[in-house]
Amino acid sequence: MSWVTVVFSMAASASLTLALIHGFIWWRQRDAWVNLLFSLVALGTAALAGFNLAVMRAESPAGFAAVIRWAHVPVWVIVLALVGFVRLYFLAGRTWLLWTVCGLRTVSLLLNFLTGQNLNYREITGLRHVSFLGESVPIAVGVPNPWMLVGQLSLLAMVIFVADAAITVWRRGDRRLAAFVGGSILLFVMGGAVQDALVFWGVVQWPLIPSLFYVGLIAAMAYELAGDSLRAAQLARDLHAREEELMLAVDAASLGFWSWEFARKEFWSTEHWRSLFGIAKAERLDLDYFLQHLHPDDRELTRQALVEPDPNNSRYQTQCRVLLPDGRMRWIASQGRIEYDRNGKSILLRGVSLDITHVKQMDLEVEAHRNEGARLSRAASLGEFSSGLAHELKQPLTAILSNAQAAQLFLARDTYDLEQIRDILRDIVTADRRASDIISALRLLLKKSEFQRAAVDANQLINDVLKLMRNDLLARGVLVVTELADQLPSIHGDRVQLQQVLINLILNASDAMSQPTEKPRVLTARSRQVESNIQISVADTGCGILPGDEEKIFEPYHTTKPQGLGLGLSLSRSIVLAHDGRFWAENQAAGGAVFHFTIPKWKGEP
Amino acid sequence: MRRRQGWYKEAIFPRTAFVLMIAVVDDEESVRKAVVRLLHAAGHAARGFASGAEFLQSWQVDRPDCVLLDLQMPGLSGTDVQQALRRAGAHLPVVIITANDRPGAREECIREGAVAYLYKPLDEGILLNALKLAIGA
Repeated sequence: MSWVTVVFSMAASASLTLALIHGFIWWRQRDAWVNLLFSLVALGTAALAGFNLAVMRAESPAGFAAVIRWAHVPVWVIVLALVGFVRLYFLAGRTWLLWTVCGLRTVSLLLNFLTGQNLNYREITGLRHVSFLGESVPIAVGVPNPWMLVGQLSLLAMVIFVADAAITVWRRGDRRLAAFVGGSILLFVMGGAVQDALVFWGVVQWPLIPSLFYVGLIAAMAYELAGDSLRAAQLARDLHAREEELMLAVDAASLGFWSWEFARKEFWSTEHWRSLFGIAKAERLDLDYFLQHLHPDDRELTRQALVEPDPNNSRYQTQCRVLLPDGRMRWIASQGRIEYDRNGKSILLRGVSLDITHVKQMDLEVEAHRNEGARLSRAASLGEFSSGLAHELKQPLTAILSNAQAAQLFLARDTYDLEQIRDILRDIVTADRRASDIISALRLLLKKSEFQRAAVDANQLINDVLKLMRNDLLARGVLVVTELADQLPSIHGDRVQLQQVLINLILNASDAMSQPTEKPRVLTARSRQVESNIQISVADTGCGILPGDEEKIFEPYHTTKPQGLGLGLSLSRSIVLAHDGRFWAENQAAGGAVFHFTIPKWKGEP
Repeated sequence: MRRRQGWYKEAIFPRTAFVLMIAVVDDEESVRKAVVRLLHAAGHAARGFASGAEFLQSWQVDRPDCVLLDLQMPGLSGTDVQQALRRAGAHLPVVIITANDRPGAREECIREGAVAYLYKPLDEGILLNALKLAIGA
């Protein structure tokens, strides 16, 4: 049994097998270049093993020389594929070194065919026989080819290249890869080179068997690649498990997943997301088709966010209305994040969407309740100063009646002054208009209305309310002082509701001063601008807020009045908060309390 | 019939059997003007005062026959004026005219010596009756 044949045949077939396996992997996944390059290395090694075997069966010096000549072809394949593999697998190694190696090796190959009998020998003069694995195998005796230096240089360059790449990987932190793969490549390549040299210089009596070293090399590489495949399979399993968990969470939260590619203007989405928007599973989803499902008012904003994203903001947050095919309307909240490429350009927007219809409905209900509460409170507090209002109305009515009766008396005489009659009629009209104004103001206060924002002048608001309550305050003996700042910017708010707040505060202030006392009853109304807000304050000289009650007084149903509803302050604060303002109270050093509230100024103003 | 100098406007066509000098004290200008006009039309002489203080400064100089007094005024209220008159021993008949219907106010004013307590808007007939009562008293 020829051990030489067995050993080298096994080496060749093992290498071929590995080459085929990894070649097939590349065939199935065309971007697995690493596998292709490995496959080429293995292929080269198989061929080299074949040539090694052929050399040992050579019968003449010419035959020996010819085999060696052709053996350089797989060596060329191996060297180039190996450095390519290292480059791609390690993602390291200097490119110029790589080209140097390839260049030198290619030049060696050319020189191999062009000079002498082959790259190693100018001429093989004879064959000596040595014992190897129980057989007698020939080794060459002859004139060395000086151009062999080029081949050796290419090997040296390859060693340097691989070492450099391995060091880079080591520094990067992937020590295992550097040590194992880098180390084994260096070991086997250098081992082969050393053996080559030893045989060449006649130090050892062994044939040339570089292929065996390369088999060791590809074994190590194959081990590593197999490890990669196993890891990939494990990752895939983990990923699948994570995905399952994610889908469970998403289902529980009823979230829809979606992503939008800016460049291709394409949506990807889960089934649930499509159902949120009323899009059937099978329908194609492009931008215009999607936008059609939205409420007309929301379309432009959404389209803008998807087509021209704000470069400064990587977050995407909208609420939009969806019109379902059966006519229902749904509120959807979407939130996402933009992913950028290396140049900072937006490439992908990934997000989730949630059905918030019930939340929105509750919001609207709360607002309706608040408006209704405000209206009822207005009606209640109107009752509190209705005597003052009745008084207000009776004045113009008195003027009208007395003027009219005076006119009747004048006209009953035989001669009368027409100018005087005209005067009387003018006064009647004026008085009537005054009465109408009061009634209109009353009607406005009592009207059921939605929250309407408009530009409101704070000073005018204060003066209007004070005018309305003038008689009531007079009846209670309250002196009114106003300290209103000049040229206040307008505030953006609901006039009626803000009047409501002021009425409430003024009533409270008067009530606080209702106890008979030596102190003069003074109510001070102040307005001023604080940064971008308008601050209105109502101060009294009453008994003040009990220490510790500063927050309690704002709670609903808290009252110190026997007939009080206790809703005034909590409703007033709720109104101020709905205007994005602040509302607070404090005791004054000189006695009495002061209530402040701020409303942001209207940004629409120039 | 007493003729008076000063600011009392003479009634041009006396209608009633007697001409009274009536002071109308009310802070509301439109009411003051209208009531004075009505009294003129009824044949009396009348003058308006915008506040209790203004009236109290002048009543001793040009003494009216009767005072129509509003209750709710800034500064001195109607009741204050009544008390001042009483303290000064004026014996001026006072008719209260008011838009207020606070409970207890009527009793208080009557206690202070008001001859009548009239609610606004004033009816001409009721007013003139009250004046007759005031003079008779």
